[in-house]
Amino acid sequence: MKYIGFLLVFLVTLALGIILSLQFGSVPPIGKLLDPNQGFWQNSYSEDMDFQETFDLKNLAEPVKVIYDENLIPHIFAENEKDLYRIQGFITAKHRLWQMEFQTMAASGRISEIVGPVAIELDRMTRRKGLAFSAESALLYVQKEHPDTYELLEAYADGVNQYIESMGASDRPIEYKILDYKPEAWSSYKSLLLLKYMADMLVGDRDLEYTNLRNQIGQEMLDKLYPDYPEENDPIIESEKIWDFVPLEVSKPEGLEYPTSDIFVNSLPQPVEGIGSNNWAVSGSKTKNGNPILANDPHLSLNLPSLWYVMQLTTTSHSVKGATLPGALGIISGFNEDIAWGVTNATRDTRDWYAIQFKDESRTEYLYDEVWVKSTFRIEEIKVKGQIAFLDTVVYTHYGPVVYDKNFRSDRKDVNFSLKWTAHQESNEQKTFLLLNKGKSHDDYIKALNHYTSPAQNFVFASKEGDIGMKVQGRFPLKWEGQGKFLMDGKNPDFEWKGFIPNEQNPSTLNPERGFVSSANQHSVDPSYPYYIFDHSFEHYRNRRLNNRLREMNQISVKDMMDLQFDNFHLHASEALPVMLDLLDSMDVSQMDEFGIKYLNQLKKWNFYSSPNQEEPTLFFVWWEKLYEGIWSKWKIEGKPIVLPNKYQTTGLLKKEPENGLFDNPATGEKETAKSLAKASFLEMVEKIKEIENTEKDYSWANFKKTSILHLVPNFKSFSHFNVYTGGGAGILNATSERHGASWRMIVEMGENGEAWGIYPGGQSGNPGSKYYDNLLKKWANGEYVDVSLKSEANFFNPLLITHFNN
Amino acid sequence: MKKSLILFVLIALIVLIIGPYAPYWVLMIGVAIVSFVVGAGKVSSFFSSGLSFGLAWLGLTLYISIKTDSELPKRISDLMGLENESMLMLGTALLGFVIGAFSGLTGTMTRRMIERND
Repeated sequence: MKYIGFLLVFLVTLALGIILSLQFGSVPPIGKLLDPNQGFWQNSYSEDMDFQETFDLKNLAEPVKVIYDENLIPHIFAENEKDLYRIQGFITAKHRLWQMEFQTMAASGRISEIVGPVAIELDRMTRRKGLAFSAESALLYVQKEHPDTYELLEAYADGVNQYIESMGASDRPIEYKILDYKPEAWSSYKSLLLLKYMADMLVGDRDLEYTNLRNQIGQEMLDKLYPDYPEENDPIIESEKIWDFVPLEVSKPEGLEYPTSDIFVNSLPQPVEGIGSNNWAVSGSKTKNGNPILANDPHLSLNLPSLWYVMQLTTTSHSVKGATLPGALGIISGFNEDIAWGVTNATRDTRDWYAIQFKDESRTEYLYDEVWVKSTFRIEEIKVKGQIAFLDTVVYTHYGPVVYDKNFRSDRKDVNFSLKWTAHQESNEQKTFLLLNKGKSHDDYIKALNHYTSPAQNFVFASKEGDIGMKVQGRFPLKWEGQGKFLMDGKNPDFEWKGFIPNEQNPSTLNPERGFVSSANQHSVDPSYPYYIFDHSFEHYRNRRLNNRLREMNQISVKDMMDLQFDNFHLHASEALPVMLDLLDSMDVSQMDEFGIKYLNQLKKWNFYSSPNQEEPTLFFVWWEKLYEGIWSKWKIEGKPIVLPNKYQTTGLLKKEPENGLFDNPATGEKETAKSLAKASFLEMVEKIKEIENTEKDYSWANFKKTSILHLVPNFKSFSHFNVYTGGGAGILNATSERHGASWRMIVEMGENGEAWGIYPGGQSGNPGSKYYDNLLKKWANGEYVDVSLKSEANFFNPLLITHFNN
Repeated sequence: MKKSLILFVLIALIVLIIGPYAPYWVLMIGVAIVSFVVGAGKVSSFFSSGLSFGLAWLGLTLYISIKTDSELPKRISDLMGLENESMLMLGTALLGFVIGAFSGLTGTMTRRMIERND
């Protein structure tokens, strides 16, 4: 009996020891997590309560000093570049380790390892797009062709790894503790992977959707509703620009026909519309102080920990500051004493699809130019937490990976679509940023950009010498008119890309007469540019608002540029609403209830701004959404992906051709017109807003839009911020929509007494327990900035913390 | 009575001094060993060890909360579906009690068994 008692107690104790340290499903290991010495309680310390004044780091050539300012922005003072990047790795890891690792896990299709089987489909998709494959080839290329870059990548990785080694179990970021896994070693490969992740985030294509559309509505209608250039094109490179080079010859091969069959696949998710960015620079002739001013605000998914991490990186030869991407070396959007630069996404169709005909079901050979060519196989082993690994075989042709096939997003045996994408090609984007960081002139900037392949960006530039410039840089395939807009025939070599546009012929401008350069993801050029340019997602509103404002502004100050980044003018509404109201005129107002009349009067008096407390933006948003659906939803067919005409073309159609047969839905007995659809959608809007008024008592824009900044693990709701009170919206310069917006705002005035300002929605710390996790969020929502001017080691006013690194 | 006081003090020291360097299950072994050596009665081993461990954990959570004024306890209690951070502190203390109590009881009962076999 005594033995049984002992055994029972012993087993209970043993079970407590074991069970409490295990994870069950989504329930974290509760003992490990709650242990105040080791678990989450230890993550309550903010960085200023828990830091080391000195640290012995291996492989340093000289001592390095890191000084943090009041916002926890580190300023690294090193003697040479290798020490600098070693410390950059260490410091970034210290504040953002979980995030940088998680993002590279996502990029290599390894999320299932952390969260289990729910992520298998996501991981398969990532791997089928070949991100890890392309980072592997990028690494080989950098090792071989750019040993100088490789050496710095290794130094950075060493810094990260020395941090990981120095870290005790209690120091581990909270996400590791909750999800119960450990950080693994960093490597150069992971830094390159991160840049591929950016490419994946920013590059899309609609080739399969366009293929279906052309079959459905015909080429003529396609050209009308989806023109290559809009009527009011206000391109990135000013229209006056003369193209003074001899372009490479390219023409569509005679008699070439696209495959015509419909495509039934579950097409890949695309970058969300409204993702985009603004950047511009104004020359000294337009500014109050006579110095050029540069501005950049990349709009991306709004997440915590923030995508960006601000740093100053100083050696004896250069000093640079701005936003870094945790995991990549140097500053990505920033400035040094001589130059400043910033990036926006240069959307262009650099991803094309080829239909592959295999010899048999083994898919070991495919037809190309009338001969059978051998394919290669890449077996993707996706490790899954708590389960056996998932194996996915991906077939590669000379174009690239076969993404869609009978095993993935299609159930038909004859579907084999191979992806060709510039991001798969050998490149060293990292070098571009390393060179920009220490660049001194426009020449240096151009040389740095020559290493840049993907994702294509509009690089804005300003220098202390007074130059302003813009270049659309990426490796752009040389295409004949219309090439790659639709699914192409992989058998026929005539569909191959014909080469690449030389870097020096990419659109660029230096000191244009108008006194400013700008980009907002619109068309790169006007139709006079001698190459075929196509993309589905060019912007039509932010660019025109931005350029209109820059044209009329003079005596510009830094404050004016801040106001412009936070500009809430809704250009689309200002063009579409009068048309919509006109269409309503015939409607008998007496038919409407008091709510309808109230909303109508509000809209009639609207100033077209979208401040958080205004109600009109909500009314317009809902009305437009209902109207748009009313016009185009008839085109949607289950399982057959297409894209609908954009709001710019739709607005034009409403305005100019309200009687067009396109408005009619043949499936209904009546004949719909722009007028009848406008009326019906208005009434739908009234019902919806009435409901909101009843349930939430408030239909103001911020409350309706519900801007949210989510932790990278969406389940961690209490690490996120919901309903942030802020204005703006998609297609507005302040492009803050529900989940996307300015992920970083920066303004730099060049010159001797230059100054720089920056802000982002989050904070420098990746730790949800730290007061620096989200301390910048409120300022960001209010359109405020913090001072990010360059600081010197000698005159560092009011440092928060100082760490000395010694060998 | 004296033995249980000694046990209480020793276990608190283990949690506070060894705790920062070892996971909680190592502390459990430590508690069992100390309880084995001290050899208090079963009831007093159970409660002394449990109270000591639980109160030490509660003390630590209080110390950290007051010192850091962090949002984290609130965020974690939200994540776990608890009403507020006091519940989380209480939960931590309770867990500490259970862990400590059973480890202490195991230590003492092991000693009893060996003594009997002698």
